[in-house]
Amino acid sequence: MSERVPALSVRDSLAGRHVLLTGGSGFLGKVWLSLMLAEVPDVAKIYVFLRPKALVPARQRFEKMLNTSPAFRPLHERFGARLSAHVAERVEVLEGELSLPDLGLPADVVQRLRRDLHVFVHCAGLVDFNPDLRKAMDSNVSATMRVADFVERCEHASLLHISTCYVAGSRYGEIPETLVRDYVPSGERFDAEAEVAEAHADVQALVHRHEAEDERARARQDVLDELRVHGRSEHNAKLIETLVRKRRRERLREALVDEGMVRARRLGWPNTYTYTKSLAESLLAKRASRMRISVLRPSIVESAFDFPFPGWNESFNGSAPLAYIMGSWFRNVPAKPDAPFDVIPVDMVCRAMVIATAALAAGRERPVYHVGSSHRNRCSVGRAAELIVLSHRRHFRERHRTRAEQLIKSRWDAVLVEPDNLFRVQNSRALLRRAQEAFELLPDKLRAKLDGFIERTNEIDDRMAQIQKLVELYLPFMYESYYVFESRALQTHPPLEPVFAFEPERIDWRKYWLDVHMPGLRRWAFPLIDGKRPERYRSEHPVRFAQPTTASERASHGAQDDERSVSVLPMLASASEG
Amino acid sequence: MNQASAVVFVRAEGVLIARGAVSAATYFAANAAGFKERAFRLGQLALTAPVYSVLGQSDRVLANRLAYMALRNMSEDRLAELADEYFANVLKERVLEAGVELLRRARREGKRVVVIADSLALVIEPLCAHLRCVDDYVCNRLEMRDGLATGRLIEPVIGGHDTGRWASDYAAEHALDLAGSVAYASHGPDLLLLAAVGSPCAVNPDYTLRRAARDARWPIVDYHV
Repeated sequence: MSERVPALSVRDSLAGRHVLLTGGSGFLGKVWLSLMLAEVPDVAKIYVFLRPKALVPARQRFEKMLNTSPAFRPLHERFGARLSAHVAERVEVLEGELSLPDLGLPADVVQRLRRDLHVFVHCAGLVDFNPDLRKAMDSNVSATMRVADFVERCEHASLLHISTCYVAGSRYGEIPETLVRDYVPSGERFDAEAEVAEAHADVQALVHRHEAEDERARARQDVLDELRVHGRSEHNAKLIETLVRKRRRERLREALVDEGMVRARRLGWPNTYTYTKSLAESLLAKRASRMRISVLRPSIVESAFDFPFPGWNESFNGSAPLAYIMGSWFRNVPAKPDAPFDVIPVDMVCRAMVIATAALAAGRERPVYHVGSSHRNRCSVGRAAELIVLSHRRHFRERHRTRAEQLIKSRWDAVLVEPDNLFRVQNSRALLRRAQEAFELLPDKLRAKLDGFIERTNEIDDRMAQIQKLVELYLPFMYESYYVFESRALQTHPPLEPVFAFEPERIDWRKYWLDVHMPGLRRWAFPLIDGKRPERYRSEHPVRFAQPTTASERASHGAQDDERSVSVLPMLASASEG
Repeated sequence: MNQASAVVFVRAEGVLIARGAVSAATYFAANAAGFKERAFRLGQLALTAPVYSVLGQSDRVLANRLAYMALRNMSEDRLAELADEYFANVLKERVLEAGVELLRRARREGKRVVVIADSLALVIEPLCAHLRCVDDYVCNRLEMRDGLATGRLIEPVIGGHDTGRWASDYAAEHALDLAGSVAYASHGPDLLLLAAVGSPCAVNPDYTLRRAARDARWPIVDYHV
């Protein structure tokens, strides 16, 4: 007979508790906060930790986020004019900086938090797959250690650290819900602390190398050569200095990005993101005996199933870029059709986060929670690709802008192939380069006539280079590994309140991809890829907080907040047209 | 005998819709994933044409089995999406209004309406939902394994002479009176279905059925455009 698992009342566990959230302006953070404010009315305080950005104080950023992000739509609809009071009673915005000791918070706030805080939900982090190593180490490792230091000094706080299932690295089979010290996918002897120190030293060495005089001279020579090629003046010292600075910055960034990928892949992680996230987990594991920690690992976080509303999405790291290029003329996607494609709607992840927060508050936490679908309701890479293709087909048939879209593009199905397929993007690029070389052999007169066409081939090559880069980034997830993420920990304390139930079994993948996720991507994520400003929510009763009080708030009150850069993936901006 | 216990059996192809089962199979094959696959499947389907021309007016089971083999390994997701498309873009335009009127009249008379089709459930389901006057339907179903079509049809395969026996079983199961029931059909293989009911009617019949209907003095209705 199966043993009855005692249920956990999320609302009772969190009643009168103080919870702190970092990463509240991110995709997950916003939905978690919205869910908490909507469904956990008795929480004593939610501290929303934000950085001031572009001279806009944290409180103002928060207010703007609450009033314009669709993630908070259910709150506006439910509370209307009462929302300001509802939020003010439960939320305190903290302005700080994770890279600083005590998180850059004022001493009185630190003292108060040390006394009152129950759960620290650390959701902040860099989620780009291939960021520069310095930024990734700062955001994903050093900041997490600062947070752990902070929690350790609190009287009774515990830590919920949001990580990713893909810290597992290149693996095959079922990945258990365990927190391992000094974990490395390659299985070699590994010391996470030594690795972190070595990575920091490498970053420093790279920075020094790029600051050296010969690097400067090389950058200057490149800039001058380029100006000469474009027939520009070589005597504008100010312009040259600016371009040299920019070139050096770019080179350093490229070197740091490459260094991150090299270190990650050498040890068996697919990218810098998963490598740094795993290092943070290893270091946290070493503190597990001294403090209460839960690590929550979502898989690929995608469009909302039903909260704040079906289809809400602002993630551009999951399936969005892939789905985007599969709607272009690019056809051959290297992938293993049978491998699980573990996507999970953002609201299911946030429900799991709320359960894990409540479990920590109630002292019933588990060390690791996998929040994915592959264990309980698997969708394969092949099926996901088929549903993406079918969604594009439906879109081009129903909302075509041109006849070519309706007749040709709707039938231009992307297909899954082996990476060494004859028509892979590398081969297409090579073919294009041969054609460009052939153009060089043409007589000048004829070449001049074909100038526009030759220019176009350069643009196509640029786009194919971007697609190639993207395909390489996704290859470890789509082809090289086969993951099933065990997902049992959440079942050890099922929530008493149905609104928090984590039920990936409820997902009907066909309906989800065709009617929820892909329309969601098209509405919320593809505009970001196109470099367009995403749609915003306009509430009838905007939330207004009390007048600003801190010095930085007074100094910049009224400044405009340009909360997020809209041009996220300009590299793909016109891939669909190409 | 009270009319509530009577049933009207209607053959979909030829009576309700001006498209046969092969039309949907062709649409599916022509919209498979990738150009190579489309060509291969259409080629396979073309091979069934002679079988239909030879056996179409006597027994379509073999031809149906062969035609649907062309859909082997197509995903259930694609077939469902294509079926919706096929209904919206092709079939909806080819619904025979005179046939639908026969159903409506039967419903007004309080009879149970049962549609019989060679086509796949994926195609017939939206059709019946659209007509809004169908109580039940029996049609062919593709066997699916791990989300892919195996290319096999689930028994009983519709298209042969078994329809008559099936109608008798259906009537017995639902306590319906076959003698007071009606059947509208249009193909040779439906002969036994028509013979099983009290009021048979050949609608837009093919050569075999027309000849048999004349011999049996069954009414013949022609409205097919």
